[in-house]
Amino acid sequence: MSVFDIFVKYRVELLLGLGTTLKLCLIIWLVGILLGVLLGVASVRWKHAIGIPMKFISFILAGIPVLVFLFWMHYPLQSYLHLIVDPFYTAAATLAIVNTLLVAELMKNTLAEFPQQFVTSAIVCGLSPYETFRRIQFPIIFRQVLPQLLVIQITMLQSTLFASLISVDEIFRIAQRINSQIYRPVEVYTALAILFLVICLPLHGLAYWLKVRFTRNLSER
Amino acid sequence: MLSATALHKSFGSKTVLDNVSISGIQPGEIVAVIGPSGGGKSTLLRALALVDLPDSGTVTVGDNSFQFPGPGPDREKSPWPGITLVFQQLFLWPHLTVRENLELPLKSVAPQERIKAIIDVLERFHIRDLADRYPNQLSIGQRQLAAIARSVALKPKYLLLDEITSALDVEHVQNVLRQIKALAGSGTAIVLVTHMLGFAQRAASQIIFMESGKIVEHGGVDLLLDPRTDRLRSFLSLIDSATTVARGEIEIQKVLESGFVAGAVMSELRQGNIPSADEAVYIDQKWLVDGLRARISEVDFLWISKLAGSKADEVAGLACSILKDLQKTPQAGKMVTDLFLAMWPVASPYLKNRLLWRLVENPDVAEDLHEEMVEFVFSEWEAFRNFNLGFYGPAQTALANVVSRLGDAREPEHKRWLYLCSIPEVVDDPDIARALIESSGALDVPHVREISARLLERFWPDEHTKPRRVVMKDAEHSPRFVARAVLNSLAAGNCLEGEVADILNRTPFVDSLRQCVEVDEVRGWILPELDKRLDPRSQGLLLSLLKNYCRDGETAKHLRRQWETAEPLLRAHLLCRILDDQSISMEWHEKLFAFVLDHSQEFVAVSRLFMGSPENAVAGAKERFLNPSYPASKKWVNLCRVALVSSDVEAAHEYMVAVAGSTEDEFIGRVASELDRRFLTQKSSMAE
Repeated sequence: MSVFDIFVKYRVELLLGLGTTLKLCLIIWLVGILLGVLLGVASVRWKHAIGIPMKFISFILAGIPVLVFLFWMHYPLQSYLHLIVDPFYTAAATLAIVNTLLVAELMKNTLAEFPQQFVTSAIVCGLSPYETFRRIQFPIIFRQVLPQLLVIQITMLQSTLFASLISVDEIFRIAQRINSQIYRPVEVYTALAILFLVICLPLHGLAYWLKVRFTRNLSER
Repeated sequence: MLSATALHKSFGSKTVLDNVSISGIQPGEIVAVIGPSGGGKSTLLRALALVDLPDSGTVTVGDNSFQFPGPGPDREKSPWPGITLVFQQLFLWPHLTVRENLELPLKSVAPQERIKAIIDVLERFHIRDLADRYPNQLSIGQRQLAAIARSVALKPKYLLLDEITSALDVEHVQNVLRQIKALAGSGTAIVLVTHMLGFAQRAASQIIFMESGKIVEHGGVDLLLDPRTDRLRSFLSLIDSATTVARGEIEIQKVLESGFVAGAVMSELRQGNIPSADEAVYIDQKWLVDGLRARISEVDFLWISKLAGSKADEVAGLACSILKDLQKTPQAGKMVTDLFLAMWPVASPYLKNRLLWRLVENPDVAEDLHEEMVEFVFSEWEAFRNFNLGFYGPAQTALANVVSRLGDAREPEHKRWLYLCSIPEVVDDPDIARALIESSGALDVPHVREISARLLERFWPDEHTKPRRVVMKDAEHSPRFVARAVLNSLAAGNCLEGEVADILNRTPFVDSLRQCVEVDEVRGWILPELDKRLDPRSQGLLLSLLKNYCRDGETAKHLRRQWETAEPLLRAHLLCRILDDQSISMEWHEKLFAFVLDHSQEFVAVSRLFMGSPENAVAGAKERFLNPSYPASKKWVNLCRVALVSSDVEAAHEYMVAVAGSTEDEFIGRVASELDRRFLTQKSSMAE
């Protein structure tokens, strides 16, 4: 059975798996970006109350592989709390936490390194704080953050594969199931790779386009 | 008014501002802050701009005082952009084009007006072509212009500039200087930090020298030539060009302070010589007429009253001007006022303008004459305006002049209405002018309230009408009378010696002196005086007077004779005068060149005297060397200047090699080779 045959024969299963992956991704992206930006800003604004604890948590999590963290969230934590949560939501929550911390760290570093002189020059030019944020800070930060943010989100998309290990029926788990039925690992995982390419390539393209469009080299001669 | 009191700021244990106080900087005033790097200049500017708050002290911006330690200004009710700062590092917003950088702070301005303002300022700074480029697509000099333009477009009341010309070429520095002066002319107070002393001297009216966070010296621009402290002297001496860039008016002032010119003019006037109208205008400049005022007493009244009776209005006006101080003396005050009162009824509108400024000085002048003067001003407004525009001088000082006089408690109250009448014409910005008149209307001073109302009615009949400022041309003037007076004084044996002779010798006024020298004066007194005097600098001045007559055979011979006995410094002065005679023999060329080789120090001193800093001297010498209309007999002297004055030995060496390799003139080629061999090759190889 060729790769093409797999696409034809298991199209329904593959599309369902892909749908689950994308749904998972959407949650991770939205939650991660929204909370991450807020947390990043808050950690700069309230360095002691939020910044230092966040740094500590990020530091700990950086030492734990995502897979281990996911397992820990799925079994020990739920067992300890006497909870049973749908694996999909467990995966979504775990990866959203990881994404949040990564985005928050990115935001924090970007804000901390933001050239304050541009704000100072806005002040002496009489711009209001709102205008300064909208026209100076936000556009510059946006340009700085964008490429890395997209890279993180693509990495998160790829991390959704780990969800299969806690029985979420996302695309990788579907691929595993198909393989267990037809035992053609090369073709099955090639089909999986193609599917990921189909999703990731446009995302990479978008990231590249945004980078070209917005992140001109601003360094001076 | 912008001021600072007892500012103190430290970074850790390092004190960067130590009890720094600056008294009120008035609208239209330009203050330059100079000093070594790390002396606290930029910190002071940032503290004044309220962006880096001092640890303690007070900053006053207009009506708002900010006390420290304290929270500083609230951004919602901010002093910005009324006060704004152009940073040394510029801080143009990198994601916006030049146009957008200018546009963003002007968002609150109506679109049409905003576009007009931006185009105007882009054109003024010659960067319209760069409007759509991003900051990183510009050179640093272009970025500096864009940053200045951004601040200027804001029309601030107080503009602080931190090293804004460091990367600009000469042409752009000149343009920036013009724009800054124009801005000051429209009432903006400017504080600038600079290392370019020439720029400071030309732009500023006050100099602050800072070191180690303290103000070491604070005073007029003459500080650059006459530092009071050893520290400033030593700082200036490190900057080679300091003494040359700070020439010009300050130096003329030094000659004037010696009293020589004013004394000479006074002597001519006392002898009954009456200047022509354009000569009177020249004498009536502040720097000269002040010297005359200081020298007259009641015994001079007779000849001055003759001047006052002259048919030429300018001459009679000069008399009014000279009598200003005498009018205030108890001995002659009444006599002078009576003369003015007698002149008033028959005077022309021009002369009435001169008289009314004198008459209002006197508090005893009858009320009906006051009324008559007020009516005169309003009925002969054009004449009043023309006189005022001349009197208040260039735009940059006009506002400061008016405001300082209006608010000066020492000025007589009954004179204030006259200053008030000057405002619509001399103050550039119609809104500032209107505000000044409106606020002055509240003063409880004779005539001021009704004059204020009349002015508002005349110039601002409704909200939309704004008076347009008329730009006047300078009145015709001729320095001939003053030059003749100086020559007569020199001919009478009065002597200008030492530094003052040198200074007069290098001012443009020496050209006026040369033009007035008659042929019979050369042998009549200039050559005899030249022989008689012992000071080479005084002799150098006399030699300058001879410049137009050195081709004359007898004069040329006289100078060559003098050469034989002259000391080296005088020989350095004589050199060019002897070479003015184009028929001079090759033997003399050889002799003069040998002198340059043996006495290069004296040659350099005289070259620098006339040609300024090494850069100017070398550029001027190269230009003369290549100029086909420059006398061929003197060309080799310019090669000597390039070789001996230049601070860039390598470039001078290359120049000499190029000249020696390309010239067809055997002597010039030899001069170039010899200069290179004697003064440049060795140093050049050492530098490598």
